[in-house]
Amino acid sequence: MQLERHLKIIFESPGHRLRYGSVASRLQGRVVSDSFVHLHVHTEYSMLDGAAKVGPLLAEAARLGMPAVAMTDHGNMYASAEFYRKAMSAGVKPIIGIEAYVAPASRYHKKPVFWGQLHQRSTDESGMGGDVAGAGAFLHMTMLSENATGLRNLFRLSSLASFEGAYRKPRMDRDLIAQHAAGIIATTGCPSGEVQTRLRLGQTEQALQAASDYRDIFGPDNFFLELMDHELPIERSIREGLLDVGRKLGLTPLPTNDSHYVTQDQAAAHEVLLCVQSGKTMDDPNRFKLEGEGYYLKSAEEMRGYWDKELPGAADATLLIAERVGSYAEVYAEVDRMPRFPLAEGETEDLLLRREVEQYAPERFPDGMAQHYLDRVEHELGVISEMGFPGYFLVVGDLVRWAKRQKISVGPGRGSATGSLVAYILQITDLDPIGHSLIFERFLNPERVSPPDIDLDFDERRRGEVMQYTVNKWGAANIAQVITFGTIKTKAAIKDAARVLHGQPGFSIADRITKALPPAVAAEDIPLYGIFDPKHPRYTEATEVRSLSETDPQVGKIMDTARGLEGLVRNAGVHACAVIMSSQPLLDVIPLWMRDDGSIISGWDYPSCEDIGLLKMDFLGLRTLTVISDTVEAVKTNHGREIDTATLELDDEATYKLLSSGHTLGVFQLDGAAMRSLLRALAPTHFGDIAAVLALYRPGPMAANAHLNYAERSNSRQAIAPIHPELSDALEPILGETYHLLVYQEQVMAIAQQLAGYSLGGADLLRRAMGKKKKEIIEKEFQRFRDGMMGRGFSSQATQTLWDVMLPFAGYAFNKSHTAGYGLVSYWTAYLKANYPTEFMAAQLTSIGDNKDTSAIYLAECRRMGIKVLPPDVNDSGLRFAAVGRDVRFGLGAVRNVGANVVASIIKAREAKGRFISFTDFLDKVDLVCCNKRTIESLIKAGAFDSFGYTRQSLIMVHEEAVDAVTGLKREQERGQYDLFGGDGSSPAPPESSPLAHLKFGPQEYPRKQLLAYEREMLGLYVSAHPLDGAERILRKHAPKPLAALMDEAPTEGEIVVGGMIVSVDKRVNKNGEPWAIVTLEDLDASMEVLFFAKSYAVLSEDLIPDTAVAIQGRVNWRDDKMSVFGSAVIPLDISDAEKNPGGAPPFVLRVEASQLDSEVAVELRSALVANKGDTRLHILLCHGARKTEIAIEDYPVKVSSALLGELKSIRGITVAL
Amino acid sequence: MPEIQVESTGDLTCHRCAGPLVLTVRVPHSFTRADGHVVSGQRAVGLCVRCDRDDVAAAGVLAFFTVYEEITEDTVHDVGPVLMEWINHLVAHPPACTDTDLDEEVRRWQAGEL
Repeated sequence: MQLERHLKIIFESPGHRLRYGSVASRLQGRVVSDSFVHLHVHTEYSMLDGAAKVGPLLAEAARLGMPAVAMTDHGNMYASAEFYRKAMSAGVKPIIGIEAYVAPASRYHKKPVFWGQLHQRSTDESGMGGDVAGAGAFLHMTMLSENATGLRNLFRLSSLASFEGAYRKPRMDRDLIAQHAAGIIATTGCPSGEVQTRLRLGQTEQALQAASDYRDIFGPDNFFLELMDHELPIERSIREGLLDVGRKLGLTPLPTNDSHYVTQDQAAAHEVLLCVQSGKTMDDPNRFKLEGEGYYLKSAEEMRGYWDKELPGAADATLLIAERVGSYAEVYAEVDRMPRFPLAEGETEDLLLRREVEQYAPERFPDGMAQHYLDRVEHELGVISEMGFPGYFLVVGDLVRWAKRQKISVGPGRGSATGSLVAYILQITDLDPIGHSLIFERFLNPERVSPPDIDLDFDERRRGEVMQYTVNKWGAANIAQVITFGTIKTKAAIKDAARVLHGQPGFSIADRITKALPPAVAAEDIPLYGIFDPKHPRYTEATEVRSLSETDPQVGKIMDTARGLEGLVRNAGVHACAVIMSSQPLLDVIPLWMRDDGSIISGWDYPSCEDIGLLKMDFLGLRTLTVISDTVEAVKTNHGREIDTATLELDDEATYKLLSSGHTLGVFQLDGAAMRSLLRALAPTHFGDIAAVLALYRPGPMAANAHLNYAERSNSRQAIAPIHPELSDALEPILGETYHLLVYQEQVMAIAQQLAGYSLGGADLLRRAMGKKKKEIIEKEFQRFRDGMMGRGFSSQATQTLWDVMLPFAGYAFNKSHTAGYGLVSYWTAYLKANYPTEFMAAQLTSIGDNKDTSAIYLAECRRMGIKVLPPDVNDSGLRFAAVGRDVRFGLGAVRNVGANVVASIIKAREAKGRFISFTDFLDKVDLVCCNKRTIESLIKAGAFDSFGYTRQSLIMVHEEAVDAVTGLKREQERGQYDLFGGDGSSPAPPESSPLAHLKFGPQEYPRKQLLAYEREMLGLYVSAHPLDGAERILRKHAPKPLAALMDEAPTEGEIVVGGMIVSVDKRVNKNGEPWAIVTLEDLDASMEVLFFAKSYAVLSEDLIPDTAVAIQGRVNWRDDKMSVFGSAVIPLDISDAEKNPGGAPPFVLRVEASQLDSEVAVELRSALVANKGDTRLHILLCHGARKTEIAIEDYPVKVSSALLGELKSIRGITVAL
Repeated sequence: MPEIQVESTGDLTCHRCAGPLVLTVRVPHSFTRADGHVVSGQRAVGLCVRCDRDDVAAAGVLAFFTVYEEITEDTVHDVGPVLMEWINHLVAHPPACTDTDLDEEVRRWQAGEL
């Protein structure tokens, strides 16, 4: 045993030089050694206060030869799982505790409490210098679990402190502690403890009473006097008083060190961390910092060097406590805690699962199952039973079927679960795994016992209902959401360090450094140590930032500082979708945390929860399922057709036509620009193609050109070559569907099974081994694989060739079960877009919500599809976007300043009293809640009253007066006094008695530009028209690509020209006091920022005017995956023609050489124009040498035809301008 | 001489210093895209008493507006020559942000000096 190696038994002699006699008596001649055990230790889970990562902390304790070490984080036990696991690995005995927050009064009293006089209150932020800490909110107490019971009690205490005592911090109180004190060793704590605070305030009697109370609560052997020395006056000034309390009550002193980081050299980084916490800079004299020094894991020599002189023998108490602490193993043992499905007497979960399969199978297979299906079911049930997971399938099946009964859209399956026929029968998934060649062992491998993991997708809007059902079904006490820990990553560490060292200017320095970092790989930046460690695989990519760090001392210091912060836990959060379920109350099992919104969150991450047998499930909210639900509902309303996506045939011609066209914006997982291009090349013809592109459109296969090869082979543009001629026939059943290209992990498994004799479980292990690329394992597997193949008569060469193709592929191969499941969602959305485009686009626009950039893209897609997006209308709009015939109607809820309650009121009024027939009729019928000037103004500007025939300007002119006139009367009407106008509401004109009778609605209207600007202000978008409508030709002439195309094709650098409308000019002033500006440019589909720095702004500012169409030349800039431009030149564009004729065809332009123009030419020309009269506007481009002028000719609109072009050809000096 | 539009009335504000402009002119302007295509049009140039006081070519116009508040029929003959002098200079030496200027500003921006 570790402890025994470090301890030696000595007998304390009565004459030992103890100033504090009871130490010896309390030790009673037990263990003492020259070692020491730290019992007050903060890890990084004392967030932004502790800088000790758990692994290095334990490694240091082991290096120092300490037999045990404690963890005592501030107010939480989040580290307790990681700490236990790593301590056991490191061979250091874990002592799990907490530095608890204790309420100075009741935990329910959530106001400051002070015990001293006003002048005794501390002014420092920690409150450690004066009265009750935390500005009167809490005291501290160190608590350690002596055994498993104590540990569970600490979990309960920390959880209940969060549930019931949260006031600035999660606080327990004396009552709560007394209820759960068993198995806990506690101390008087740091200088912010209750006893010390009383002593500091001169309240000796109360100090004694408090210590006495706690001694009674924990027991005399379990309550210690904690002594610290960080050279703080406050520690020393009360020490005698503390020892005196101890003498009177017989309490043992216990020296500790308030460890906040691992080694002494981390002190500076820790100071920076505290600045990150408090938002201060290192230059700030008032910044929060730990006074004194030595807050690290000191060696036994250092601790004893002080305490053996100061209080001989006291340090031995740390060893005694360490020895007393027992095993926590039962707390961390893996126990089946899966929720228990209610069973009838005599029934088992195995039997119930079988019964459910029999019950639901006819729904999937009305004509019965073929023998190979029945065999598969038996096989799966056998594996599920053998692995002990029937309960899991019962729980998940119950949940999903409940959701489906409530018409909550559920995903057809994601991840490997789609490979299970039992899951399909139980309606957990919606894809027949045998029909799609999906393998059960990819999901549950009997040769590798690990819990099943079924992730569930739900309609995003109704995910909460599913969560609530789970809570109701299994009990709130047994369910929790799951904690996540945000850590300080590379860029954040650099930014934090730069800010703390340099204040506000630090941000731009950090920006310079982060720009020099190599690009992130799979969304992960290179770690800071990797920049400087030649052994790191990405070291060579980091030359630029390394050079910057080595040549610029300021940067070098920031990088050094950042390395001290990198990787530390910054904050706790909540997992987006994971839920923990248990058969017993979680309060008895793990620490919990209650957020401000009342939700209960696990105190451990989900792998730690799973390690002890808790069930983790992912309930994901998938926006696409909401779109599908809304579309299906709208199709039912508009077309009377009920669509059950789960039963859709997968052979719809229109759907494949849409996919092949690449017009898949909004189609699940197939709407990126590059994916659309791949779809065009592939021209999918069956469902397998959809699953394949989802698997192939990822970095690994794309790097090997597999996606393009697949497209080429599927269209017979590339020969289908087998991996080896000898294997052609053998591989055909496995690789035939993918044109003899490896696409899926399941194909690797099938090859191993069918060609090399592996079991499917063994094949899954082979796949995993190949993916991990461990040389010795791969060599061993190859031997087995070769023996298997050669034993079946395949040649050595063919075997080697096949292995050589499989091995690299296995590293990036994808799971067909997942792509088939998600491919189904892609198919559904493509089906809906192809067959019910209006309903689908309305649902898409609704789902996007307030994201105006994305809305603009979908509005552009509507334009492309010929779907008109109509402005909101008080008679025809609901809350959301809706399909109306072939158009999409804006929802009233999308209008600024119009809330859901107003919309509900409008809808209620028109349903109860009939459609509104005029503006005044509207004001008459709606409730007072709608009669608000701002609301009415917003509706007018958004165009919601357009259908009444008034101009928006005339309504704006009268609306205030109208609202004033009706509100008073409406109040009286609400009191039931009289009808507002006394009319029957059938006439647009109010009766003469009406207070609105005198309103006059003139014909005047705002200029188009202003009308649209208002519309944009209210809806965030141009809807009824766009100022650039009809100007595309002018824009493209100068800026060849639309903004969306530019961003899609992503030039990384260089000069470009962009064209569009200036929608805003955000003026700034630089450090030199020079003005510069960020201009937002928008075209029909997208927007982009253009930065005009001081020099370019000084020259170009006159042309940077909002609502002006411009072409801008500049340089591409990418920052945080967002493209912008550094502008260097601007030219305003004349789009007045487009404004006069928005959406109209461009004019027909004739080039006329002035030198050739005479009366003869004029007569011929007029004759040709008259003979070809039509609707196209005519422009003349009059050319005289280098000078050119374009003139609109109003009286001769023409029909552009071959006849006209033929006639014009014969006229001297006239050509058609291109 | 291409068409030049001069505007000297209305609310003319200098975007550089937010002070008043004495006038703006719209002059022909062009830039060349990377593919060689010339984007041409007109651009506005403002004349500001404060910001353009070092522009020798503008001295006559600034002097005129020091004496007269606006261009009238009586004064148009006086302002014509000085205006032409400034505009000719403007057309010959259009104010522009050069590549060097932009290089420098981008560098300073990335270095956090702005």
